[in-house]
Amino acid sequence: MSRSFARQVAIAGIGATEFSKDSGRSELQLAGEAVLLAVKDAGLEPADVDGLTTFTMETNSEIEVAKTAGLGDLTFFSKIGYGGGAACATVQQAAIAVATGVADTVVCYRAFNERSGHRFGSGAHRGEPTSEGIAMGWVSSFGLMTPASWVAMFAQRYMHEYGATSADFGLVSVADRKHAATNPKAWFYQQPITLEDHQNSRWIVEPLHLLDCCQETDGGQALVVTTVERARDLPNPVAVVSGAAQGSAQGQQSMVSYYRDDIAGLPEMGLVAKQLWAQSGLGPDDIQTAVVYDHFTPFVLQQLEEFGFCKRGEAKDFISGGNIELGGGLPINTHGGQLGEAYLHGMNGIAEGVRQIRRTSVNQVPDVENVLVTAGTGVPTSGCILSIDQ
Amino acid sequence: MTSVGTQLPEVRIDASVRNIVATAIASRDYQDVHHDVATAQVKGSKTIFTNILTSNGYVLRYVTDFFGPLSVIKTSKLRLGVPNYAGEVMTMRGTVTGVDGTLVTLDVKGSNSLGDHVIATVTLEVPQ
Amino acid sequence: MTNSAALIAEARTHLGGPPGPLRVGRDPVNLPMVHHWCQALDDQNQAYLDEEFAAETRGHLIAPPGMLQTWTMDAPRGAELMGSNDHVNRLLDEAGYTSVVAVNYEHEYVRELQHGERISVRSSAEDLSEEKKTGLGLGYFTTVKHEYLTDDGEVIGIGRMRLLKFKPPAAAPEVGARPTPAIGRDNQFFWDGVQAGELRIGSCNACQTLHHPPQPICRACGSTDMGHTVSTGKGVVYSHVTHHYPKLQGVELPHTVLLVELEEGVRLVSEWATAAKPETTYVGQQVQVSFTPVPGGELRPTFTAVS
Repeated sequence: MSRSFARQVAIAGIGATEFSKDSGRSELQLAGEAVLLAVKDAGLEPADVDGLTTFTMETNSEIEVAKTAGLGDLTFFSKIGYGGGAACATVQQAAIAVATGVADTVVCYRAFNERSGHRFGSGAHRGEPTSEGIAMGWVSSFGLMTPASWVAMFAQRYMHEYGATSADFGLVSVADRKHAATNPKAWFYQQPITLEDHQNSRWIVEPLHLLDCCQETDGGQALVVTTVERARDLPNPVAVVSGAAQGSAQGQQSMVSYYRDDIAGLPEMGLVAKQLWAQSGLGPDDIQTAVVYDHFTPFVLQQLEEFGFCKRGEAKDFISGGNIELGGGLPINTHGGQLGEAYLHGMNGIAEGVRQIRRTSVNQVPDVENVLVTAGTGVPTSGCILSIDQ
Repeated sequence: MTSVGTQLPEVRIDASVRNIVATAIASRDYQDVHHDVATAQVKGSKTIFTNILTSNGYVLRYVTDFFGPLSVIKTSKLRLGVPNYAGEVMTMRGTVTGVDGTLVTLDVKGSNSLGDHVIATVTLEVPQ
Repeated sequence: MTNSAALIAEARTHLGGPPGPLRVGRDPVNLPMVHHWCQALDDQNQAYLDEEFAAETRGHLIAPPGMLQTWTMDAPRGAELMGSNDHVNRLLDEAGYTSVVAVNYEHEYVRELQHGERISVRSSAEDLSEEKKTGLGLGYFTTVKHEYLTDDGEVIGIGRMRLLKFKPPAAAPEVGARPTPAIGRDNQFFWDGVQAGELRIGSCNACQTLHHPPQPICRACGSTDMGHTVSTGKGVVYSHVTHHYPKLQGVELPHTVLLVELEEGVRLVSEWATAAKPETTYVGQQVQVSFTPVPGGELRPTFTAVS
């Protein structure tokens, strides 16, 4: 018997609220609406759902969401840590549960009022003297308190080692905004930017400009995971999960793994890449488009390197010449990414991956067979590969 | 007999709020940083701290307590270091560095948890 | 010549100039004030307090020499005359060096004082340094000389106070206090070290592997016998960022944060010492630890650039 869940499960439904700066309703309502939309999209009833998985940062517990959305009895529920690093891990845990028969229909969800409510970028403060609180103290005590600043420290070193520049990071932003400009659901619909706009935008944390940083969003996103067999009987083209993996590498810290020998890479994402290629039997050449986690632009470059789309330090060349834009060799973030569409902790990127497999994206890449989706960077992370049903 | 290298016994002096305020007023030093915590903090200090006249007074007391009431202080030269904040304990240490007839020279240091508050050189006449 | 330079040049013309007006002590040397002093300082010297002992030895009680300046502390001063030290101070104030801290306090006690003697003081400026970069900011050192006299003009003591007159760092916006680090069993020694002026790095007592951030079990050998070593505090900038937005509690913006690689081989996150921020920050810059306060007054291990 195979020990792998790869290609046994699929994403059968996706659902999201609108993405806004002020939802005007509770986070619980956003979660409930997203879950119900995803269930409906899958052609199922709320009572069919017997599993839920989400982030530890999610404020809506599984039981509140189940009660609110009128779901069935739950035989599986789990929460995954480390912020946006959990995104694709929700798919992994749902897939494990479904493949092993623990549950039949698992919904992955994430909802928040991250713009109108608690904003993650406002600054981390004193923690309790737990190991987590003490770890945060090594940076916050010195005024390094925001996600942008934590990433900027890696970016500065990456620039030093490989000669990348702020303008190279800007290419990611330009590509995302180009794709968002043609996506009516994107916050920055019809608002493309130029590299000059990027370079002229104000400093947030040097070397990061405003346009290196993702937006802040109110909204909810949910995904329905079930078996491939069952998905084939449901309305949508099947998005097969051909790989899903988590990774936490040696010396891992949450956003501040500054103490490893080399901080110009993302070894935790390298660990995810290795597993995904092994599970799926695929490699970089088999991927037609990717959703690369983009809370801040610099880490997009390291991720492309960790997945082997290019060599170490060469991402700045790989992304030049429009190669990551529609029509290029590897279009990324065709929904506009978190810089252009919405910041939903990576969950909206998985939905875009599903749309690419269904061939329903507003920025459809021709002949898509496999889509890579990655989760939050700088933290213990995850990734997945979605494929057409062969 | 006093000779070069003689070490004075350590003495610890509590920098209690009471002592800081009492000594400042006894030396007619009414600067608010020596009695008003809130004002001291506004001016950038952690809390109230010992005034300079008192630091000098403690150095001289430390020396005359050792050499006795017949000794006559001639000079004192203080270099001022970290503040002696309320709540600190200042430890006084002294070493004789010169003996010339009845004239004795010594180094005195008063240290607290932040470092050296005062580093002094004192000369005095000590009758035979 | 800039306005500031002109003011300093003018200040120099006052050096060695005439002392200020004689300021006469409000009360003559007296026993009640001596009692007050001795009680406050817990000084039980018989020469100050024991009349019988005093009569047998010196013939009279003396005043504690440490009280010399006390006798003139609240002496009223005439506004009409300014001494050279007043001019120097005024000109330094006008040039922007408005803050002051005493660095030396020296006295020559010409003779012992007895009760009933009235003490006066006159003050003058003795010297003025070049502009110095100090831990507190840019400033000038200046020495004020105080001559203490009796009513008949006998000089009975000379005091010198060396002051640093400095420019307070630019008026800081109200940023509040920097968040205090969470301190627990595994990092107590590090923050104790900061108070003691030591940069302590966690180290395994069994295999000497260094750990920063520290941890309770050695990752190299598994030992739980963990201690620490004191770093030389020398290192290089490994990476750095400058925070502009958003505002943060206890942080003056823009704020540069350093990732320093110490010569012992471990890295730590830190920042420039407030008063010693260099104009540029770059990877490979040589730095040295110092322990300085951050907004709110707590100490942090901070760094200064070394050439």
